[in-house]
Amino acid sequence: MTASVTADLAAPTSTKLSVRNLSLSYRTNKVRHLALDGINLDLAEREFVAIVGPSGCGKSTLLKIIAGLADHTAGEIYLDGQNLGDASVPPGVGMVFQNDALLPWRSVKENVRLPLVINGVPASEQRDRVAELLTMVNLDGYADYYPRQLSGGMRKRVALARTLAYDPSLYLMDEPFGPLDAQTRVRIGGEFLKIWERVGKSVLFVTHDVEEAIALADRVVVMTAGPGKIKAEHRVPIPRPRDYEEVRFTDEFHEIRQQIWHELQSEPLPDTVKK
Amino acid sequence: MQKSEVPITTGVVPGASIAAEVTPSPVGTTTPAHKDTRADTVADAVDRRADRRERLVIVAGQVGIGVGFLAVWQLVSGLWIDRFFISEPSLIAERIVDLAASGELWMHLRVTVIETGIGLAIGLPAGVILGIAVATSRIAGRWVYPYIIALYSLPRVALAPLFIVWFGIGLFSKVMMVVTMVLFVAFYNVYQGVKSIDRDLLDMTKSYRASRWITLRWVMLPAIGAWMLTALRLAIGLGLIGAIIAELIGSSVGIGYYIKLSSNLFDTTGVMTGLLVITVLAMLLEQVVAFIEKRVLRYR
Ligand SMILES: Nc1ncnc2c1ncn2[C@@H]1O[C@H](COP(=O)(O)OP(=O)(O)O)[C@@H](O)[C@H]1O
Ligand SMILES: [Mg+2]
Repeated sequence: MTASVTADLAAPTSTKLSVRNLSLSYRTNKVRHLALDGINLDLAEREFVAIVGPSGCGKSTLLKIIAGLADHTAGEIYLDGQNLGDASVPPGVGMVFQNDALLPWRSVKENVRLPLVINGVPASEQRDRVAELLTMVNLDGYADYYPRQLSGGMRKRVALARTLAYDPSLYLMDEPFGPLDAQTRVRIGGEFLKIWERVGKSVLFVTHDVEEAIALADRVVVMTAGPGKIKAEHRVPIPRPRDYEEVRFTDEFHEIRQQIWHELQSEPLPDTVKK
Repeated sequence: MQKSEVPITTGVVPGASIAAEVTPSPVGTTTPAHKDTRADTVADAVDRRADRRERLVIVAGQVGIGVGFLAVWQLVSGLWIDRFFISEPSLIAERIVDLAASGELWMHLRVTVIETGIGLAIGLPAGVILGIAVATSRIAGRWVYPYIIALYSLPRVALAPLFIVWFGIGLFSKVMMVVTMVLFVAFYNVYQGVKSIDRDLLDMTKSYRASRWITLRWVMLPAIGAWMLTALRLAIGLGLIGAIIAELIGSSVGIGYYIKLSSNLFDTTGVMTGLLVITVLAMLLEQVVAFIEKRVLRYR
């Protein structure tokens, strides 16, 4: 038993996801646009990587391609060393969508139960598991509410609980806290950080909030505006477990943020890039 | 590299959020889940009373319009317009009582209802299945779509005589007429419904590798629920029309037959009575659909 634990602890260096020379071009009005241009990205087992970049640079598209929800025109994606074919949905990949994608006709507990049903978890275990997850995301007492009755922050918690229920080995999160107000955003971010440090799975986290990216991630990848390219990478040397708010006052944090801001500022405005 | 030590915050004031962190309940709740207080009970009673008053005003208005219409009709006929053309409500009421007493009303009504019912039971599911199949298939669906739309615009009345040749003068030709009336409504509504499903929801189940059956049960059918109810609503009216048309063209029983018979005898009261019976039937069925709608769309 001890042997397998040590093997597990040694695992973080192995590669979970590997994106090689990934490109995507599409055609509108006889003109071919390059949306993603030769993306190279590696994600180690249990690593948390954040992607920041101006809006419209192709972050959502990149996640969708990895999740098998969209095609790409060149390059390869390897998950656990396996080459994923074009638009095939790989197992064990859980996506948190930019809008929360909750089923409006199902209650909170039913929304969270869906991945358990899909994964064939026995009905007797589903209820306990759902209750456990709702506790985890601070939604006790809201099991029977419908999504429309909840605030934006609470809907995000439901979406998070649902993805946790699917229990993926790779989380793809597309601006999961995007539309929230600043205060709720920081709170949920902090809660999520605690949950993640406990669960310890690989995460690819897209955001336009540089501070959020640094506070959460082991590594921050900076993308350029269209065509989307990787411009820089920053390792975040802040040790874990982290205090989501306190880390913002450390010197490392300031330095990385300064660099990333500089890199983003030298980019043309997204409006001038589009069309 | 810049060396500014002043943090350029992106709108987040770290200090402010720490205070909010003390309460463990979710933030930004619009409907706090708390135990009912006395004030809540009073507020509920006030709400209920306002609701009841509004409902009363609406029902009173609806009944008022109907009664007013009948009253004007009764007054006008015989006075300004000959009874021969428009009959009158009291005569129609008398006729209904007579027909009910002799059992004739039930005989005709039963046949028309059975024709419509069987037609709906075949046409609606067929339309729903066809709609989902065409909307979800990438290639084959597009092969048949233009043909279905072409059939949809075919004047179905013109088919009635053909149906009598093909399916005989009995129940079957009427049922087929109802089917052709309702199938396309169901198809078109369901097709539009499936096309308008939020892409993110389908992406979500796809990313979880849900089976087709789970996607259908958890996403597609509920998403098109409102569309199917609209289809049902329209189909009841159209189904009755289909049955009546088929009966007008060739039959020996049914409300349509009774209307045809009365019309041949220049019996305006008979024609009006048939129309009124159908209208009342349609209104009753509408209530049934409204009841189902309330239950099914409760999540809104
Ligand atoms: N297949 C496609 N057809 C048309 N436009 C596309 C396609 N794929 C990507 N795009 C465009 O690429 C850009 C990247 O979008 P997106 O990935 O949503 O950016 P981000 O999430 O970084 O804001 C958008 O302008 C989008 O319109
Ligand atoms: Mg996006």
